[in-house]
Amino acid sequence: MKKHIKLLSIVGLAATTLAACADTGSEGASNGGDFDNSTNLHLVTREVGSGTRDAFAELTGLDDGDNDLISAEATAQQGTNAVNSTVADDLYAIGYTSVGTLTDSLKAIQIDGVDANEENILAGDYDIARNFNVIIGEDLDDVAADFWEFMFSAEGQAIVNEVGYIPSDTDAPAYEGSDLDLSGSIVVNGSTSVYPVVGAMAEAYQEIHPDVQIAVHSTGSGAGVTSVIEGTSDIGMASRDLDDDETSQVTEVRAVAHDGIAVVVHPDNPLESLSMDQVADIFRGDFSTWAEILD
Amino acid sequence: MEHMNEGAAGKTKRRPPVRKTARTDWKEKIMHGIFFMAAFTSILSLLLIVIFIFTNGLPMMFEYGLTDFVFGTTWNRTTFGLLPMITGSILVTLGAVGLGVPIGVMTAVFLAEFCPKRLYAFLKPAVNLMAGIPSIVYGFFALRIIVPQIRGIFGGPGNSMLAAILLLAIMILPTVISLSEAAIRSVPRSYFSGSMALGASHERSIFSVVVPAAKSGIFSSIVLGVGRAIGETMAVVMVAGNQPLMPRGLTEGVRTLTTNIVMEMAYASGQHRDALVATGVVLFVFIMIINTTFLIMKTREAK
Repeated sequence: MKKHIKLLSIVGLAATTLAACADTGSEGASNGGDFDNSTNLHLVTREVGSGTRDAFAELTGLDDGDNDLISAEATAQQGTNAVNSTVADDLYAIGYTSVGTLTDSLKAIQIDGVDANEENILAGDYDIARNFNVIIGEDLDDVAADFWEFMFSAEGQAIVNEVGYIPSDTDAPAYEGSDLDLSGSIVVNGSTSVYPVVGAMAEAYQEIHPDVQIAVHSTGSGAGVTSVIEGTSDIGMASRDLDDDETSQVTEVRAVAHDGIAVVVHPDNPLESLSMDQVADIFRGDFSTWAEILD
Repeated sequence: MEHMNEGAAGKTKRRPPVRKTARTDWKEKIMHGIFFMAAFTSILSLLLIVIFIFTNGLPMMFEYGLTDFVFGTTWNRTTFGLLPMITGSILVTLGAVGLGVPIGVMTAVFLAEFCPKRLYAFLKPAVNLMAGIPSIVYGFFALRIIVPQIRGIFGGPGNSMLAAILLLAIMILPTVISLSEAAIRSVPRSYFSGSMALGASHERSIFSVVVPAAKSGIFSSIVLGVGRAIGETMAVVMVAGNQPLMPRGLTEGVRTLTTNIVMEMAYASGQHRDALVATGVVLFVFIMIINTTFLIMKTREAK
């Protein structure tokens, strides 16, 4: 019976139309340069627990005890790259990301009139900046201790620069351990943001000491700190500062590099500058449309 | 085992009596042991998983308060209300099944009854290939193709419930198609020819006789589709928006039970981590409910 097939195709059609009518907002298509002020802001944030999110909340005054005040309505993306590509794809999105990962497909917003770049972060003028910390616990073996030295040597700090972050020590001493006959393995665990820095250092170190195996895992700041406390890794990486409880359980915490967090929008977004308070208000969810910020 | 065949075989042709030697008995015993071990391993792993999630999750649920946990609507590092994620999972799954099952069953009917042989030789492997694509690839496809389309057509952030529904509707297709097709093919051909002989048209024979006869198999394909939709994680986390809020609309973001676990597992500790395991308990209960419904339906069908 043809009726059945007809009926089913009608049902199918109805479903498609229903989906098409589901739109409630009156937003224009996101094509190229015509920016529609009346569109809602699309907040993009990192997932709860991410080091970048914690640092951003702390630096913008959005931290609130165990939790933060970043709007729960913000799209939560897992990882720096996911945030970057979401903002780069969406004309009306606003997010935050590591200054070291900025590309041409993102526009970084000035904070209180200061550009998010390395000079300003080093000079201390740019306010949303943070430390990339490395952490060691008790019983550091010789190989890990030597790698620790290397990270804070002139050679190690030069790598920070190459990777696109800001060295923590511009007068670092030269590395002295190149003649040592070392072998063994080192396990490094932690922040996805610090990972590229320490990963590049590990590569350079293994060229000097081919018998040393360094396994660098990007598992997140929290996991990095925990793994050092529990003794499952030699060196931890954290893109935030440790709290008192954590600091008391590790032997040493030291900044290996500096990074800024840039507030980013689509390159075609007319927004140029925000005050720190505005940034906090935006991510708290106080603004609904772009007109409230731009006009 | 072999002597059991004798009755059936005896009618047509008498076989030579089976020689029972110690060697064959030995072989049989070894194989018996191996099969038993195989069955035991899968049951053991299931048991271990159940023990793990229940011993880790249940104490937290009771300590926190079962109603607060299941019906609370706020989720953060210190407050664990799971209702947004439960609702999110249910809505996304319903949407995906509502969209994917009709398409899948229709495709199965086409493949089994209407498809020209040459086209079938292409379509069947294509459907099988769909089942083999890793879920992260589906997720990437949805992030680059479906999400921008939704953003362009409906506005909003794009990462939304609708994106997750469309993605999952596609992802459950191979399961629904393969099982439904097998179910339709297993209907005795005499049903179809009988219906045709009574004067029904080709379509009527298929939709009124063959497809209803395959109902049970089609139901099982739907149940497995639901299972896949509710359990999918990595692809969904890329497109769903993941806000831990009660679902606010098709074009707004949503968080499901599975993505709730994967988003926060790496960082969680203490009660927060237990709350994520307890999310697994709720998910497990869901799967149990689905499977039980399926079993009940099947036994009714058999009666």
